[in-house]
Amino acid sequence: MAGLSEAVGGGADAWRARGAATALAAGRGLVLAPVSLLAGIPLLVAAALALGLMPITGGLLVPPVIGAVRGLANWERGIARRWSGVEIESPYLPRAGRGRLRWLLGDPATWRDLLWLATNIPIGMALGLLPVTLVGWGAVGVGSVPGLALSSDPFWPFGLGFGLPALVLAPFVGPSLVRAQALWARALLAPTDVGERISTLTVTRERVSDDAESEMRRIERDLHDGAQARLAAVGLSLGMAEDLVRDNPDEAIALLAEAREHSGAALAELRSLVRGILPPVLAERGLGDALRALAYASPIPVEVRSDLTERLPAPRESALYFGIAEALANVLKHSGAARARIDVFRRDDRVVGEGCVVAEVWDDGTGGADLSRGDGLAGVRRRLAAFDGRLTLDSPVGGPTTVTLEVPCE
Amino acid sequence: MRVVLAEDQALLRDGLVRLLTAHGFEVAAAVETGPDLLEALLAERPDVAVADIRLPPTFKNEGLAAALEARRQVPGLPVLILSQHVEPLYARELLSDSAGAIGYLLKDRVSNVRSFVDALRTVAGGGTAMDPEVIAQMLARRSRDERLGSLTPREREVLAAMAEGHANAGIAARLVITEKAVSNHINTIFAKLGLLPDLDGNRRVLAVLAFLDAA
Repeated sequence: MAGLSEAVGGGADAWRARGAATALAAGRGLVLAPVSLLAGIPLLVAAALALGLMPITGGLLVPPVIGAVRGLANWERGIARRWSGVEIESPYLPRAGRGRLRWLLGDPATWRDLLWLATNIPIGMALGLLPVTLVGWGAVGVGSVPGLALSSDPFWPFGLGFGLPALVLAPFVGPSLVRAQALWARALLAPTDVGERISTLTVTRERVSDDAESEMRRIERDLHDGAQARLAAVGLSLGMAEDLVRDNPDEAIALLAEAREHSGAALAELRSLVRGILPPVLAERGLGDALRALAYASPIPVEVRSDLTERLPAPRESALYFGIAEALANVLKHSGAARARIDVFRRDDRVVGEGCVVAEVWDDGTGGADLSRGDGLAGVRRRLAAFDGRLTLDSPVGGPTTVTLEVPCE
Repeated sequence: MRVVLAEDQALLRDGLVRLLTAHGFEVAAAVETGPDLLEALLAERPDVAVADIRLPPTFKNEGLAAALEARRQVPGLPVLILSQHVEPLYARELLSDSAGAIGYLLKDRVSNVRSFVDALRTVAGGGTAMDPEVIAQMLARRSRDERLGSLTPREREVLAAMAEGHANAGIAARLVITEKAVSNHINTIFAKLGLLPDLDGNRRVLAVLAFLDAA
């Protein structure tokens, strides 16, 4: 009995929820329909004028109008995501130093936006008004029944016949109609494959050059505050010793010792800087031995297996090395692992576009690692993305954890 | 004492020739490349070789390769490797033939002339001279080897000093203990590492190797 009443109660809840969804869809349709018409027609006319008058105005009107069209398209992208869960990436190409007009008119996304604007007037109107029409039609039809029946009007079954199907249909169709409009928008407003590829490349290039830029700044700062300052001190001590060597040899000797100390410290700083730019073992021996040196210096046993026979192109080699080093540093810092393993192997699997050199860093630690925490692996991922490489993380709570880095061969 | 020197940077090469000559060494040959080094070592059979690890033509580890090859042909040929950086992995490769007479130092150490010359003499005499930086990197790690883990902190200090190439007197001075205490510590270390008195080879080198292998 309890089960039955629960089912009925659940059913009532479900109907309430469906009712709310129906009302919501009707309301949303009432927003979408006027926007498609009232924003669409003026923008379309403005765009036609701006483009048509280009010979006279020199295209002066084009950027603001296209800007407004993009504003509306972006609003639609946001609405599609929030209301229907339909993700539409921004398709616009970066300006990349081109003239404003050439940039805007040369981007296929501009023309696709205009096509969407035009088609969205009838489609937006129809799909937007249908949910509320169904509800209204149904309400009026069913609502007329008591009045007609009371006045013994023989047409009351017609009211019921028109109204009831509409009322029954509305909850099922309403939300789908709002979603249909979002899907139509995605068909035209999402990036095409080429556009998507270009924007991915643009983003990864920007990130990599940002990273490179901040790295250069760090190196500049380290050199300036470290080795340069120390070498200046060496010069100073030597100059003073030169002055004093005849009159006060003891003092001169102390200054010379000081100079030697400063030069040693400068060398030590340069050494650690060089290690951060390109570890000498990597330059001298390649990835396999560089990883073995890394493992050798690790406080837990790390097994290294590498079947690479020839050297990789230098930028990929060092991106992989630093990625693996970062992953291993994370193992040591966070995982509490008792042992770890690094596997580097080739996988010639170009058909499915998978990485050609794959590195796996495995540990038997506690797992539960998360890419969104900390900046280390995210930086590695950015650096790999510059070569269309990938970083994936498999780290169930309780372990084990595997970080996989892949770079394509070409 | 005759030395063969390999260093591609002219400034440093000339400086080293001057330094060695001033301290009574005879520089039999001063070469620039890996192949020249191998040739000079085999032709001159010096008392000790001083070689930069990274030499032309490849600027990888030509110097190390030439020295290891020379030692393969002339077992126990004393070699002191100089480098801008030290790598425990290379130290182990250098020591792996257990023949001793190996030095591995940062180039910086040249500036401390006296201790550099001491290290060179130690190597020429069949001992080892590991850079304190190698030792420090090894000590920074937790001990993985139970034999090494069984050493007391003091015994580890003695072992590290031994790896740097200090004789018992030097270790005693550094740790401010008597030479007798040093030799007691060393005997305990040998025992704990399982290096028996009748074992062939240089026990000091084997102890250092155990240290590098397992630290």
